[in-house]
Amino acid sequence: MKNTWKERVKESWLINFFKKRTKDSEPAPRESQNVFLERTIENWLMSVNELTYQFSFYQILLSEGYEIIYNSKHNAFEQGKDIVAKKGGNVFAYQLKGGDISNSVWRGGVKAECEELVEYPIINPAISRNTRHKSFLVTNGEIEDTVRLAIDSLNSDKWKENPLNTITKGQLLSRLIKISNDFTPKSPTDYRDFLDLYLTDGQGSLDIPKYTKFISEILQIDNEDVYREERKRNIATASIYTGYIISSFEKYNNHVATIQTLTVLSSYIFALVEKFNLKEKYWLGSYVVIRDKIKEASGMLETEIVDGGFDKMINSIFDGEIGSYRRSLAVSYLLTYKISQILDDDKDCLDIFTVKYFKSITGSLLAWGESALYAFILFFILSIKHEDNSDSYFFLESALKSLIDNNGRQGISGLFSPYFKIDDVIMNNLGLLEEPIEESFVGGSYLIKSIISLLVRHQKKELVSKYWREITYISQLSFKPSKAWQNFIWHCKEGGNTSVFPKQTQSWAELMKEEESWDNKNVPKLLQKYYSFLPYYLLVFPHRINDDNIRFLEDKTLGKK
Amino acid sequence: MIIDFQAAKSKLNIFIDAYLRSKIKEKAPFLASLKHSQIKEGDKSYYETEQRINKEIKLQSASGDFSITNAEIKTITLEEILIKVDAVADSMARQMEGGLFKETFEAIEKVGNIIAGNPKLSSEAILQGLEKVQVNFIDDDRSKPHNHTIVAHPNAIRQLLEEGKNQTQEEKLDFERRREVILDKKYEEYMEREGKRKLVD
Repeated sequence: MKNTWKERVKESWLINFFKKRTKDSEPAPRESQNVFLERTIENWLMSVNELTYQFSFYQILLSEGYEIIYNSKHNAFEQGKDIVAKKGGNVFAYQLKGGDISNSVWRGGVKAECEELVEYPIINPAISRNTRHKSFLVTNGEIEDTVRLAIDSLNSDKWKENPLNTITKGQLLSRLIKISNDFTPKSPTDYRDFLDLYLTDGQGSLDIPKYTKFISEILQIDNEDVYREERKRNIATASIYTGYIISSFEKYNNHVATIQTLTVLSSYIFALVEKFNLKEKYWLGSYVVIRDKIKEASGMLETEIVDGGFDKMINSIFDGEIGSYRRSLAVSYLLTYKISQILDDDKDCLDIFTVKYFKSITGSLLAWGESALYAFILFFILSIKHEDNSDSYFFLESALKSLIDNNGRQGISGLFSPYFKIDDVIMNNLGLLEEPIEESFVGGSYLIKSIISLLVRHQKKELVSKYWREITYISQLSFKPSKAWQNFIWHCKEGGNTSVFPKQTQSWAELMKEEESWDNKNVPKLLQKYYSFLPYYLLVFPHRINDDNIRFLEDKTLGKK
Repeated sequence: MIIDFQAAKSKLNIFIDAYLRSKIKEKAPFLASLKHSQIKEGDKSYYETEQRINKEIKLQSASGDFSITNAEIKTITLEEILIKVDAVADSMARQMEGGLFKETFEAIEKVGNIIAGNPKLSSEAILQGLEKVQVNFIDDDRSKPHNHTIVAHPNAIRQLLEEGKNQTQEEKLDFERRREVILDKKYEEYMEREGKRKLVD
């Protein structure tokens, strides 16, 4: 599929670069780079709708010192207000629109929404009922003169006490450029990384190593000498750049990649918070909007699947082969969303939940690697939450059996370790890698201990006993970073890999005792506090799945302790 | 600058890397035959013994280098580079396989699995060796022992094959009979070992 918008971006950079160089006839790489960046931002702004730029607008407000009171999820209760913010004792309400506002657009609905924006008071516990707010109509397009005249007329009459202000493309662009310039890529490589990420195909996965390298630069994770206020701005800047990057995915409604990207961003913010002991006032606002965006994308994925997305997704003759991976990955994201909703006490978590429905879609789960078994664990926890019966253990036993068959003593090459992404596995299994993966995963597993632990917690002695002999042939693998903050980094240089063979003769009582005496001291503190993020974190960082995290996730989901 | 073809150079870098690894495999066949896994992150590796003691796995590095003079660099061909890479592969293979044998030998010596007198490789030595090692059986089937691999100097293997050729039918049957007796014993040991792999109250 040809991406003409991407071509336009490239073209516009080239034109501007050329203009700049010929005009000044002096080499000016730094300025030229800024022109590139500005054009990229402009192009991005022109190509997105209000749902997409709302995320970035929110981050602009945060970086400008506003306190966000409300961020709408575009439901009927907005009362014309997408975002409500406070600054210096003043309250501001924003209605966001996409594209040019012509007379017909104004009359077709925007006017009515602006009436609600201006005239309806803000109902929010954080704002006293009679507080006056300043109203803003924001668009990434232009407002036609006739509409401006209409607004002026209303402002001098009906809205005299609370006139409607406007923010259009130019103002939005200059504010975006200002904050984006807070991070000027230091080297051409940084620029290339950003452009590669921004101009990605949009239909596949995020290039996580490239993204994490880029985002680490913006967040200055390795720089100890940064003021906390600057850290706050860096987080907002990283979020804005991420907004540019995910727009490629959003263009295709590629919700999985959007969630993946925002989860990595959240994790890196946690790394920063943990490393520099940042108070919530420096980062929570940004994190909350990222979390909401993850939920929004998850909700859209759910709608797509429920509306027959698996039937509609076929776009190539190769989907007979690759489709099973696509479905499996999508289901694992859906299961993650459901668990996260339960953790958030979100009543919508029950909207599509019936064990029968989930059984029908979990038929799509494919054990393509150890990472894929995480979805089996999630399904187990979900079904236990809703209907504790013997069927719940089917998926857990399937996961254990899959590990024994593949990674046990009879295995041939083993299930791919959690360090391998689904993309690599597909390419390898289809013989498309220039250098096939020759590692053997037989004899070890990163997930087996978590699965055994769940079975022991639920007193499935018979099941554990049935497989114990084969379990003893599989070494339990784990990785522990040297420092707590490194848990949130994609791959860390420092830390220890451990391999433990289970005891050949194992006492059940001892296993039970281990479970009973377990506490959550090894679960990163931030994940304990912001636990609804945990299912996403483990989904996107499957190499961080361990028995401690899984126990904690189960306890929280089932409402224990 | 003069126009350059960086994409081709990048591909060549990847090619050289793959070539080096394939050559190391070729020159260290025993090492290449073993299952291996990569450490993806961290700087340390540990294992826990059956007695639950944590021990660090000492990682060893293998390296090699080659040099190209300023004069050479202008004219050196890919073929000539590959000859230099071959030498590096040779050196690294020696380091890696040498390290493996050294570690293995130390472990064998520690548990006393050494045949006294350092006898030459022969049918007799094979039986003596079989007596000392642990044998597993596929599907718990007595008729399917996991056979071992002999790693030896080519001359020793030639001598062993020669011995086999010169054996009488009776000597061959005797070897087989003695081997079966040892395997019977090994099977018993195996079943006893396997019987311990269980969950108890």
